[in-house]
Amino acid sequence: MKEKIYSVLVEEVGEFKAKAILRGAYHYFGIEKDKEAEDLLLPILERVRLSLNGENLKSSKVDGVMRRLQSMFPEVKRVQTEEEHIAIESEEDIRMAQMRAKIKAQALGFNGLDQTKIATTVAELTRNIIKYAGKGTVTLIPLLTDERALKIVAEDNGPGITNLSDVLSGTYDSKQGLGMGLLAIKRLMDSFEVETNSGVGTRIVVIKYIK
Amino acid sequence: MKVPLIKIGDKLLVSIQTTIIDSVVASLREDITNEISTSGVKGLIIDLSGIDIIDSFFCRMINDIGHDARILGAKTVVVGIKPELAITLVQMGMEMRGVMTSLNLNKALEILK
Amino acid sequence: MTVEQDDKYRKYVTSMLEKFSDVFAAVMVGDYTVRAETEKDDEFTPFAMYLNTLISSIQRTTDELSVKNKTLEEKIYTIEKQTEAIKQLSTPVIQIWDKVLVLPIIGVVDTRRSEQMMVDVLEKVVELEAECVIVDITGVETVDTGTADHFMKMVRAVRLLGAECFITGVSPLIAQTITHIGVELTGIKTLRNLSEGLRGAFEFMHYKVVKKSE
Repeated sequence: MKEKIYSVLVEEVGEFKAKAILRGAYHYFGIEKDKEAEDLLLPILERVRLSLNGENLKSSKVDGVMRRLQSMFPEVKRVQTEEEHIAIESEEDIRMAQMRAKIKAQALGFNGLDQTKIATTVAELTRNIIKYAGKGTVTLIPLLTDERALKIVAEDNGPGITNLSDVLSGTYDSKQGLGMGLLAIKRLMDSFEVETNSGVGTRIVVIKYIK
Repeated sequence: MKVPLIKIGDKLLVSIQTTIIDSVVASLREDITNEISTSGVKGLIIDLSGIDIIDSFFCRMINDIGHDARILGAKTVVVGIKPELAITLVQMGMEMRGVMTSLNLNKALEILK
Repeated sequence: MTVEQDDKYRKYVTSMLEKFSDVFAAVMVGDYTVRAETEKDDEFTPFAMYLNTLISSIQRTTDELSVKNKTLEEKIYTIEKQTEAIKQLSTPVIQIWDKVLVLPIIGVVDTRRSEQMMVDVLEKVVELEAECVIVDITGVETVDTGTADHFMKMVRAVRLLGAECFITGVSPLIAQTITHIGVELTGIKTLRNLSEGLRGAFEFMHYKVVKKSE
């Protein structure tokens, strides 16, 4: 696995940068020098992407390199089709969920900007869950019909949103900022639906299509 | 996890490297306001070049810190926002109010001169 | 006619019919190079001649058509290539001065295009450490609320990176439309034309243009 990633990186950015990027990625997850870590493939690829971004490469170039890397691993294909269920119980889960959403978006073929929008949306959704309901779940569902898309479902059994229409029209300005967060999600995604019942919980479903 | 504060002359540099959680935010705000009021720095530089996601919470935090600094007599410059984050922010309808922005550290120092 | 002669004639007719069949079969599958035999002079000759004329006329028409098709295909290919090129060229980011970028916008600005323009401009700002971006809309014919909103977002995004952004080339007509539809370009610097934009950029960067003394 390491060799495969390395050989592609050498072609794309040169021997020394390739070595540095790969070492950095493996080091980040505490993997020893001569060890492999097949189960960490996706997080490692994500670190590689971050390093490439750090090299001030154009995002289209980075996307290209990542597509090349991903095409070599069947594992990526699995992520493309699989539904992912993420339990949100603590603040640490926010970061984890947004990272997994980004990896998923990347594996599905979203461009760099849309990956950022998706990760940001998941950050907003999970933060709302922690803040208002305490815990809940986020599910990432790839839609693989003619139009490829990622559907994100956030559910909780919290107090619900009582003044949804005010929040979404932007007239309600919450001190904690729920309004801003929901509006932001609506603006970043292609489709946005909220089901909420006072005292029962909230279910938010958003969809982003690949352009 | 603690965010380090570095003093350069009469400027304070805060480099946020990963998305931080609420509890850290509270203590970061406190640390920054304490440092500004005790050492009397005139400029605050917040380096976001290591940040990959800016959600509305994080954006508000930056605005709040900028506001705190202004009340204490220091100007704030935010440095190193990545292109895709800038686009995402404006599409979300978020703004960075009351803070200046700069491409890199050198320019930030120039602005605060 | 004797029996012998009759048999011979029948054989001849059969062989001729077979030869014609071969020709028809070839024509049927698109081979127009075949011709019926016309060396002999008998009842079959006129038939063969008519057939040959018919085949050569089909051949000519088909050839002409295929040539036309080929030119058409080439034209379509060129058009596709040009569309692709226009798409790429439609928003070139030009560095007109050290740390000053110009984005000349021509035509209709939709959400998708404006997003691509933003990505291109911001990446160039980072790459060249630009301090000023001039968005020139001389080539934009109409501005609706949506378009105005795209321009506002572009200016805001550029500023988030730490560069200044001007909009130039606002025609009187567009100025009136903007006022009419009630879009407020709050905090956005608009200038008459590109040269005013460059002047503005110089001013922003504290440059002074002076005539070289003799």
